[in-house]
Amino acid sequence: MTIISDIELVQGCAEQNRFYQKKLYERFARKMLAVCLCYTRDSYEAENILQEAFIKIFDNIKKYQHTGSLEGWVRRIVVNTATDYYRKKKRTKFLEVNLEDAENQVGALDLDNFSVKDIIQAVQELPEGSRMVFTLYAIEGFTHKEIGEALEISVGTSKSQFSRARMLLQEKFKKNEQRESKRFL
Amino acid sequence: MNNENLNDFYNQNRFNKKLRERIDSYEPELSDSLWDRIEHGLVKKESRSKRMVWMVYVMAGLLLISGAGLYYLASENKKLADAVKTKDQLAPKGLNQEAPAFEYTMPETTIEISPSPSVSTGNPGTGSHTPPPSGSGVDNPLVGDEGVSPILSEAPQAGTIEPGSMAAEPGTSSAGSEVSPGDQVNTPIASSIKNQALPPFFYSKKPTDTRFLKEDVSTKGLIYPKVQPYIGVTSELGSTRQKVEGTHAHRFGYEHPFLYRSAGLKAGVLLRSGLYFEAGLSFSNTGSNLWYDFEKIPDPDTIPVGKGTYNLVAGNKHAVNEQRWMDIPVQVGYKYLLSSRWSLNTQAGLTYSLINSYSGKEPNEAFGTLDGELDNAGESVPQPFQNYWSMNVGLGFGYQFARNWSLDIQGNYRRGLTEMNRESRPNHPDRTAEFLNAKVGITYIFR
Repeated sequence: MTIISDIELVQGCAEQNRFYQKKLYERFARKMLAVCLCYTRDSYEAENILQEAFIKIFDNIKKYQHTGSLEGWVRRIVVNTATDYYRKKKRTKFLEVNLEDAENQVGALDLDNFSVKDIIQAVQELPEGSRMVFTLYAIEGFTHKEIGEALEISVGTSKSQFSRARMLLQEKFKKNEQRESKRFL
Repeated sequence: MNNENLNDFYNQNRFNKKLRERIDSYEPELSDSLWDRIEHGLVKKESRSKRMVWMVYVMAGLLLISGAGLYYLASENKKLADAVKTKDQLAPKGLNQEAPAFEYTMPETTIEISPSPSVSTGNPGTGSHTPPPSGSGVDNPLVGDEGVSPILSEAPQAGTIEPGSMAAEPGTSSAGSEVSPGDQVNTPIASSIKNQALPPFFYSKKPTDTRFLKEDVSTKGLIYPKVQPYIGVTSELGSTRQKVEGTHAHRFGYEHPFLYRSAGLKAGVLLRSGLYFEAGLSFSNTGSNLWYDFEKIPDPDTIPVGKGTYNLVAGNKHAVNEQRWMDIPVQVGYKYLLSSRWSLNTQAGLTYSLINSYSGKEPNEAFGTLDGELDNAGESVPQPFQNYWSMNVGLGFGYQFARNWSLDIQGNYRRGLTEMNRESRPNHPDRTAEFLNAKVGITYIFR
């Protein structure tokens, strides 16, 4: 099997060559689906976002300058597509949470006892607003200011949603732990 | 930052890092159809851009034809102006050179050149007439039927001015007065040809037919408009549906036609050849009784209803809210004169539709939403439309009920060239608009 370089891949995609487009898809699609899953409620929605993202990627690949990694560039488009998707809906509700209350209730979260599938499922079960903020902050490393700009919310709302997400995740993990321990008793 | 906060900060960072690593290392299985869907989207985009290129070619062609037409009109105008100057240079010395400038507003004026050394003048509307000797005169002294000025051969002789058709200057002439060559005669037509070029969009050559003019000006007119601007109002009643590409399961539902009505304005120019160019603006809506009919779905079990798709039930009718939009049509047409009042009209053009929206009560939560998605409050999110292009052809009749007014009735077929729905997902098939309508318009023509 020949390994296609990034430059070759980008050039082929820029020429709208279906072979190279599929190769790019095969290289990144599964990783990017994992990213999309964290922004959505289910895999169906995640695939829809991924589909839109790949069409955007092929449409804009001529603009890729080879300055950063190709994977990083692809990932940025996927994340932007996910945030656009939610911003377009505009009616996403960000339930107001008292920041101090939320922060006080959050303890340390330990992920070691859980599979990635369980973690993603727990994230997917979060309310939409909290899920978006949590994923952007914890997984993508955005600051609250950047999240505020991306989702058109205030920095305070972003912080409170993040704390709320952590609180809810902790509750879920605790419940799961208890369930697991009961199973082995 | 105290110790507790610092610990929390480090814990949080550790947690985020670990979470990121776990997610990055995860590669879930993809559904088999995902690449096919992406490929479908790519093909659709590519064909759309090809279509746009074609549209640019069509628009460029239309512009070229319009430009050539205007150039032709302008050059005809110039020929006429040159002819007028020639006439002025060769005008009989006896005519009054000090008379006022040409009056372009006189639409019913004829001058005939006669070899007889006499000039007769008359007041407008008197009906008196001095016929020229047979075989000696031409109807139009400025430009003959072949577009060549007969003045060159006839001008040195005196002429006969037809009474009853000229807005003569008050007090300067009287009916039936006889003037000998060499006399100082103040005739309007003589003054009219003094160093004047006709204004643009007017034509002094005698028309070969009386197209669109209520009165038969071919025997009386001296100045005829080449281009007649017009404005009007239009009203439309018709049926529209969203045509689905391919054999999508929702096809029967979307393709169910519904009634709509429309009102708008139009403005354009009518050329003497019968061609017209028109642009407009209209607002349409379906009323509040819009139905999408899903009862014809052959077998509900075959519908690929997954998570987030519509919960369609065969036999159900879904009442959807009022749909509204705005159209900007750009049309080119031809009026074929059937009689002095009736014309057969054909029309074709492009329409840009925008501000597509709908509102009102929805029959269920999922309908008209993006993938049936509900927000946190459990409310549905309206499915967005996008602006789109369509092309149309039409055939109808025109009736001129007054000199400046006409009534047009026309049947039209219109088909979307680009998709009217924005998203490209399996449960949202590509849809193009299709219309069949009857249009009534009242037009005021500036003559």
